[in-house]
Amino acid sequence: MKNKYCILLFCFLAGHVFSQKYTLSGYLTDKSSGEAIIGATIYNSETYEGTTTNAFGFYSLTMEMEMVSVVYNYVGFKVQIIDTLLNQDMFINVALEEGVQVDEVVVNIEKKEKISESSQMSEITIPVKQIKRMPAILGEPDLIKTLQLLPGVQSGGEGSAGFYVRGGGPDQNLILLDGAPLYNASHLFGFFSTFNPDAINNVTLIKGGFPARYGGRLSSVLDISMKEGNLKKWSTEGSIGLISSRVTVQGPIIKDKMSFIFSGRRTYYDILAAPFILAATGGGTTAAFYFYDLNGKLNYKISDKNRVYFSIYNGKDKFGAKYKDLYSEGDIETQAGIWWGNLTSTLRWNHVLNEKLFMNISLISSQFKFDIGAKEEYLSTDWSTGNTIRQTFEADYYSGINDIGGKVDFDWVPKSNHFLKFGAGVTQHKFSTGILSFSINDSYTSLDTTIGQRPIQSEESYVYLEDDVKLTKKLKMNLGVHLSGFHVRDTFFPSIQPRLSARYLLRNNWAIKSSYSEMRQFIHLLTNERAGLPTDLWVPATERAKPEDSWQLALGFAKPFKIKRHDFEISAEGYYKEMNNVISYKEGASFLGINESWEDKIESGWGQTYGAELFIQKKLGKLSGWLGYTLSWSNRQFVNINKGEVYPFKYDRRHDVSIVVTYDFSENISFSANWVYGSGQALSLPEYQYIVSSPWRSSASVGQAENKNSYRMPNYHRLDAGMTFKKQKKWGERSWNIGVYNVYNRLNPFFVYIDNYVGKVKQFSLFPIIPSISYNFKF
Amino acid sequence: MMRNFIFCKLILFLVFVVSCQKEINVDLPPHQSKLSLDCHLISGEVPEAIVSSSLHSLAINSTFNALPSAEVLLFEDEELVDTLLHYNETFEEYPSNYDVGVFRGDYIIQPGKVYKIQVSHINYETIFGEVICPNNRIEISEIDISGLMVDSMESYLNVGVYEYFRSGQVKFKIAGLLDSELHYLLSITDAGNEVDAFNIISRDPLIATEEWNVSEDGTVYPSPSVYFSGSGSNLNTVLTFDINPEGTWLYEKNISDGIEIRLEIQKDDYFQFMKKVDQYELSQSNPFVEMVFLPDNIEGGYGFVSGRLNYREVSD
Repeated sequence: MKNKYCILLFCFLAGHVFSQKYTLSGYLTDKSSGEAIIGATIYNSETYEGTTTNAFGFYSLTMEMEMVSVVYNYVGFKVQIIDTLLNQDMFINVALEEGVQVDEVVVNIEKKEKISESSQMSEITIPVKQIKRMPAILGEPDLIKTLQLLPGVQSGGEGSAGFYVRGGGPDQNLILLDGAPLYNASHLFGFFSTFNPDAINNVTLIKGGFPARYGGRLSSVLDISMKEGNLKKWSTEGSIGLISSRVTVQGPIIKDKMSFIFSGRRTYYDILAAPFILAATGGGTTAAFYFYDLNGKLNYKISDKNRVYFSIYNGKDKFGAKYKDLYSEGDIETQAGIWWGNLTSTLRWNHVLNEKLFMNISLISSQFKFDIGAKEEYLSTDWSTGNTIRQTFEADYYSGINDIGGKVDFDWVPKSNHFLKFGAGVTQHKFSTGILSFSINDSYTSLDTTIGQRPIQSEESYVYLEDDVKLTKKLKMNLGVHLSGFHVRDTFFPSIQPRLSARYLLRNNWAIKSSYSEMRQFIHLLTNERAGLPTDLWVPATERAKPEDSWQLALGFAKPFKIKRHDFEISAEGYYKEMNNVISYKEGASFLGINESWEDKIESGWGQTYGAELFIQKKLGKLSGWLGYTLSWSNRQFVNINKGEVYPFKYDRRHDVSIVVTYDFSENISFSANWVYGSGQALSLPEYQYIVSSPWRSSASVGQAENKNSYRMPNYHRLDAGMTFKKQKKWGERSWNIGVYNVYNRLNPFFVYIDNYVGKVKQFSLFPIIPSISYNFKF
Repeated sequence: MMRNFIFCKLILFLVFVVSCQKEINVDLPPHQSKLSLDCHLISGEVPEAIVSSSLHSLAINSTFNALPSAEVLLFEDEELVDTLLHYNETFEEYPSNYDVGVFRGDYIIQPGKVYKIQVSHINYETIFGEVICPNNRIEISEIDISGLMVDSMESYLNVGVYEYFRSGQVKFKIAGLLDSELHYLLSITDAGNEVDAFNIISRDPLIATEEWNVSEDGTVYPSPSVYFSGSGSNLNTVLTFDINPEGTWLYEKNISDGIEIRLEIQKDDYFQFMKKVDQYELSQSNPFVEMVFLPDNIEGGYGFVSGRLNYREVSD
């Protein structure tokens, strides 16, 4: 009997000893700049146990005690392998060198970084280099326009920098810039996005199967990380283009300890156009229309286990004119303009609690303000007294949102087959839902009035838990739950949102993926559906405008494959999504009216969207690019719109195709092109007209239709192309980008209307063929 | 209005500077023309209706058909009470009715009755609309115009010629049971003309809280008319208005007529219809607004028939 216990004890101890595990953790950075590398793969080359770096470049991998060979791999960087005896918990910071490795080991290693490996589906990470290489309107590289080339992502129309994911509205995209929500992502009436590509480190778009750490929007998450600043050396890069220029300066304040980055961009078409406007108006009119973006970040590495980051972004548009009537008796000066912009800031503290547990605490503020105003001043002379009489009229309308909040996030890797994330956050929103102030001062009247709704304050809070767990060699799941609540006007809206995504590996690297996620959105955006204007009015969910809910089910497959030694990836997904309490302006309602509460201007309804997406990508080699195709349906239903019947959403597009190609002729010369095709947007057009009158209004002809959105704009298609010529100079590197937007001069529709004077349907188009050139420098 | 104007101009300036337009083919289906009826049945007045036929949306505006041979019948509680006849000479009353004329009857509309108006024409399907004329007893009394003053000023255009205007306070009592399904429109007529603007002094919450009393351009008052909605409660109040507060109404002669207080009572469907017409008109000047769909209560055709109740009281 005693022997039996001894054998059991020996077996237990032996098992314990033999299964002794230690954790290897640290940060993965870019060797040349010290920038964190996000989403890189780290794995044991023998057992293929692995993990990925988090948003700060931190990794943690627990393995059995032995001699291990750990591989660090990220696209665009040379692979690094570290052999070590793992006999204790170890903290190793690794720096990867930029470039592509061509030896045999890479071929084997790359097998591990496959699209079929991840349990996450509907997620795409776009390299910033790719964004910069894409041909763009007026030569201005644009993140959102690159996103619009991905399957499941649509543009809002000609030139629009808005994006619509899987049939959702523009308000249903959570855009995070270093963790701070960005409420308006467009410049110049939607033609450009607010992201300066020189200041961006990493971009990830999630269209479905949302991990539990994200919440607050129904349709997508766009997570953007700003660069941290070069810890090794000073560097400057910039671009001089036709309508804008940008410059980025970064460098160490204390080498390897503390760095900064500052990036600025401004358009100058107002300066270029000023002489022409003055000449055309006889010197009476000046116009100011420009936008700018300023990004800044400080990064302080207190110790191996403590880092602090502070990032700030400010972007603003101004579009206005000043008119002086030179021909009147008096002196009349009129000014009118629109301003809108964002201001966000984030303070973050990273702390490695132990080798397996990483913590990040963030303090976040975000502000968006839209302002439209006019001022008229009339100076005249009272002939009887000789005194100057000054009469003024001023009006100003503004709306906006102010957020301030904090959150704490933990990454915990207890075992190599579990990667837990958990955390909590709280945000206070302050909504200004449309306030008008006007003042009149003349000899008859003196009035100074402010009308509109008082700002509404609300609090949003959440906790979440998710586990990326490898259950078997073939089955990997991401399980999670996001619990959130929203308090506004003595009402509390709670929510439990389960999240699940799974991957099952089949033979020959085929993987089946599936996901189910429920989302809840506590804020609404009242937006003009007709064009991408900056009239966004963010409002809270209330008793009358309930929070928006959705559930989404997706099923797909993914597989890496080779054609003649060229690596490709293919993925296809089908999805079905339902949304409740989505909102829309009532017919004819205007964002400007302050006589009605915003709650009186909206309708709450139901939405449904479903479709299939195909994505074939080639990431490496001289020739790279992708093909994306989306087949989709998106419908809406509101009690008081379209007689309560289901109708196609404005952005219901049956087919969407995009082809992106880049080709490197040599290290210094590259070519890129993209072609997009989209079925026409849904549109309401009058089918018949008849006479309507009223007692105090003259009779008028009214144009009406049987159903809403029953017509389509002409199909959209466009080809852009560009070449980049680089050259190394003594002082650094310079490159010329020459591009052509809309190569075959397709006149795509911006809006469509009926011209009753001639009895024809007409369309307005914005951008014909536009060549561009920009000069880029880096030293 | 000013803000809409500025905003639209700025947007359109940008659009038109960089845009170009062209004709496109959209597969609009052929339209089967139907009769359209625009009819107002106001208690105490004779019925009037504009009858025409619908056109394809691509038809050019001025080609609406006058249908003088149409048969327009008025039924009261399902009994034929009037046949409306076509009149051409209505340009002054309906200056933009596309020359289709007006059908007018001679039967006096009664409150509280159900009316059906039916239009037949040899080339079209017969159409009809039904409506109940509201019946809601509201009393307007004790009109006090002692606060009014007649003033004059020299004409801007004709030196030496003086124009007269009347401004100041008008008080009156208004009482009755307000029907929650009805809307009330108050206006003032002076010397046969609707007063251009008046300030409400009494700030009765009944009136001050009605959304339509604050105009779209942000001006709260003055306004040429005020709306208030029924609340199901008894109204018994004295309202005070400051009429022509800015001396905007000019007369050609000295004034001695009484002031007329008008109250028009409308059913909710007509009130909503008028709001939509208003929105429709605003949308026409703004290509960025979604198309506005108008409600319709005509069986077999298009248009709207309204029943309304009018009260008029003139000061002594």
